[in-house]
Amino acid sequence: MLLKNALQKIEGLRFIIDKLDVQSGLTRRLLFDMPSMNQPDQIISEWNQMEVCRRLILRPDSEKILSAVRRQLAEIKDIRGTLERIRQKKVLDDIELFEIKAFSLLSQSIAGMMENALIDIFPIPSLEEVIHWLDPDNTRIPHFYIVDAYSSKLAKIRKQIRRLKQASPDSNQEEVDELYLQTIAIEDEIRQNISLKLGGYVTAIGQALSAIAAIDLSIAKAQQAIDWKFCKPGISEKAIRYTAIFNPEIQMALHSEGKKFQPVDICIEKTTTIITGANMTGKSALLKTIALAQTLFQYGFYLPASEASTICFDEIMLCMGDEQDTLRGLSSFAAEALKINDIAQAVKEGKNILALIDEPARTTNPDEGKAIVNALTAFLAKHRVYSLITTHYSDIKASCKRLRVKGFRKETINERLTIDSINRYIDYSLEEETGDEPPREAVHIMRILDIEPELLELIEEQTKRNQEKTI
Amino acid sequence: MSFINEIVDYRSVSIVGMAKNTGKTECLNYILNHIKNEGKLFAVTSIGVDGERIDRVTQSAKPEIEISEGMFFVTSEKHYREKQLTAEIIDVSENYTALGRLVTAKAVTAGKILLSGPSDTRSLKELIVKMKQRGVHTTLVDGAISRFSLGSPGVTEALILTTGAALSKSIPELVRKTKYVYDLIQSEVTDQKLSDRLSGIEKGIWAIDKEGEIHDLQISSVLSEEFGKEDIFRYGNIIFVAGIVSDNFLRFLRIQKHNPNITLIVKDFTRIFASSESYYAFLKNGGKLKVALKNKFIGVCINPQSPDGYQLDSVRLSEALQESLKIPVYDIKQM
Repeated sequence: MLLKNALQKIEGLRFIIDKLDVQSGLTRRLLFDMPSMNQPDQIISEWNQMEVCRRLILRPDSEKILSAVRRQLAEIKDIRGTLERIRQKKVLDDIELFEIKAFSLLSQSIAGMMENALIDIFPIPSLEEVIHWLDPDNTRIPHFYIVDAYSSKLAKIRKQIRRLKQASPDSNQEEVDELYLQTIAIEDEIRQNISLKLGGYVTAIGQALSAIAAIDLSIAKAQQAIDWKFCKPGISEKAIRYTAIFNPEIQMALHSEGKKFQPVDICIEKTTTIITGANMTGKSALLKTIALAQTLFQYGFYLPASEASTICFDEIMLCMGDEQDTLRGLSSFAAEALKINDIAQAVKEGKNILALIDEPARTTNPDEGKAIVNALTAFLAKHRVYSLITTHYSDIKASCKRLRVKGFRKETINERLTIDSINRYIDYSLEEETGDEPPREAVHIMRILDIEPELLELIEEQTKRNQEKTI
Repeated sequence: MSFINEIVDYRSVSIVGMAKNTGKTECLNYILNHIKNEGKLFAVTSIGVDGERIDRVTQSAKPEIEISEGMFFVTSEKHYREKQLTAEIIDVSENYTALGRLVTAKAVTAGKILLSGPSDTRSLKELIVKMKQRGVHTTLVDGAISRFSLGSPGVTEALILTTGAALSKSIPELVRKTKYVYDLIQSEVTDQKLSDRLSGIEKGIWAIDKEGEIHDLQISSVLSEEFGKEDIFRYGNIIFVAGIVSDNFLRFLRIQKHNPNITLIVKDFTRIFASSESYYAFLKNGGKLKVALKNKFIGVCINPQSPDGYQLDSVRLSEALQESLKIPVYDIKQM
C-alpha cells in the first residue's frame, strides 16, 4: 500500500506525516508515493539512514550544519519531468536546462556538506560532468542561458548585433533581425547537443535526486523521533511487544487541555488476544494506536513507545467502525461482515497479517453476536493469526489470550466525577483477565454523563431486576 | 521628466489602469525607456496575464514591453519562451500560474517580451520581497484590467494611474470617474499608532472610542444584515471596517441623521467597493473617510485614444484633469 492510501485508512497517521518537517515538495511527493515495506532488511536500511541523521542532530555542533543543509534541501525542485524528457531524447529548452544546472549545483553542494559531516550513507553520484556541460564559464552560479562560451560564432554575431544597435538603433533593424535569427539557430543547435550529452547522465541525476530526498526525509524523521520521544524498535519473529506505547495525536490533544496521556504496555502473541473493559477505557484508542505504530514500522519510522519490538507483516487488516461504509450504503453490520471476510480470506491465503478488530458484532443481537465473536476468536486462534479483538461480550469460550483494561480506579469510584475529569479516574493499563465477571460500569458512566434522571432511574431499576433474576 | 525621478524613490511601483486600453503598457514602456540610464537595477512584472500582442478583449494591437539590457523581468514560462531577446534565467518558481511557472530572468540583450506574472496579490508581494533580496532597486508592476487590489499599499509602495478615452468618451465623465479614484487614493491616513493596531485585524466591524480603544462590534462584514440591528455607535462615531465597504454600508451610515459626523476607517483605498455617488453623498452628510495605509501617488497618465479609434483632444483632457485633480497629468504619446 502507498503511504498516501494508508493516510486514508490509519487514524493518526496524517497527524504525524503533516508534522514531519521535510524541506522540499519533492520529498513530500516521494513520501506519499512510498510503498509499505514487508522485508526486514528494507526497513533496517531506512532506520540506518535515519540513525545517522539522529546522531548528527544530537551532535553538539549540529545546529550550523543542519540549518545549512536544510536551506539547500528547501531549494530542491522536482525535476522528474525534465529527466523524463531527457530520457525521451527531447531537446531541452533554457528553462529545463536551468533546472538541471541548478539541481546539479545544489546536489554537489549537499554532497559536499554530507562529506564534511562524515556521512556516507546517502549515495549521491558526482554531477561535476553535468555542471561542466551547463556552466562552460565555470561560474558555479545557478543561472542559465546559452552563453558566448558555447560557440565563438555565436559570440561574434552577438557582438555584431550590439555594435549595430549602438551605432544606430533604428536604421539597422533589418540587419539586426537577420543576425538575431542566426543566433537563435546556433542556440538551438547547442541546446540539441547539450540535451544529447545529458542523456548519458540521466541515471546519475535521478540517483542524486532520490538520495537527496532520502536525506531530507531521514533528517525530518530523526528530528521528529527525537522531539516526540519515539524509539527505534526491534524486529521480532515471535511477539509484538510495546512498553509505554502512546498515541501522539491524542497525547497532544490531552496535553493542550492540561491532561496527561497514560501510556500502555502490551504484548501480542501469535494467537488471538481478547481485550475487554468498560466503556471509555480506551480499548478502541489502543487498537488504533497499535495500527498506527505498526504502519509507521512498515514505512520505516521509529515508534511512539519507550520500547518496542514488532513483526514485519504482509498487511495490517483493520475492522473498525467507519463512516465511509455507511456512505457506501452498507449497514454497519454488513460493512463489518465484509471486512471480517477479507481477514478470513487473507488468513486462508496464508498471508502474514496483523488483524485488529474493534468490537465485532456489536450492532446485532447479543445471542448471535456472542456466537460470531466466539467463532471469530476460535478461527483466528486456530490459524495462529496475530490478532486483537476488543469486545463487551463476557463469556467468550474460545481458547485465546485475554486482557482487560483495568478501568475505573476503585479508590476514586465514589467521588463526584465529571466528563472533563473522568480520564484521571481511569487506569488505562492492561491486566491478564482472571476469569471473574467483567466490570459492569455502563450505568455508572451514564450517571457521570448526567443522563436524564427519569431515564436513569428506570435503567437502574431494570439492571437491579436483571441481577435478581440471575441470582 | 519629473515622475521618472520619483519612481526611483520607491522599491515598488504599480501602474494601474482605470480601464483596459487606458495606456498602461505605453506608460510602462515610457518608464522603462527612461529609467535605463538611472544606473540602478530594475525589475518588471505584471499581475495576471498582460502584454499580449493582440488585446483579447478588443482585438486591437497591444505594444509589447521593451526591456533594456541588464534589467530583470518576471514572466510566465509560456511568455518566456516567446521572448524576443537573449536572457539569463535566474529562477523558476515552483508554483504554477495558468501560463506555467514564473521565470525570473535578466536581459542579456535589449528586446521585447510579453509580460505575465503572479495571479494573486500575496504571491506578488512575495515576489517583490525576492526581487529586493536579489538587489533590485525598484520593481515595476503592470496591472491587469481594473485590478486596483494590486495598487494596494500593502503590495506596492507607490502607484501611477492611467486613464483615457477607453474609460469614457466624455471628458467631464472621464474626469469625474478618475477624480473619484484619485480622491480615494488621497484619503487621509490615520496616525501610525492606530494604523499599526488596525493592520492586524482581518475581519469584522470595529468601533474606536475617544480613548482610542478598539471594540469589536461582533458584526462579521458589511454584507451581513446584522449591522442595522444594534447601535454600532455605542462607542462613538469612529468605525473601522476590516473588509470591504459597499454602497449599502455607506447608505446605512448616511441615514444616521442623529449622528452626522462619522469617521469611517478602511485598510486602504482598494477596500471601497461603492459608487462615487454614494461616497460623495456620505462626505456631504459630514462623513469622513480615512485609510490605515496610504499609497504614494506618483501621477496620472492619459491615453486620449480609445481602442475603437475615437480620439479626445489631448490638451483639453490634460487641462480638465489637472484642474480637477490639481496634479500634473502626462500624455505619454506626446512626450
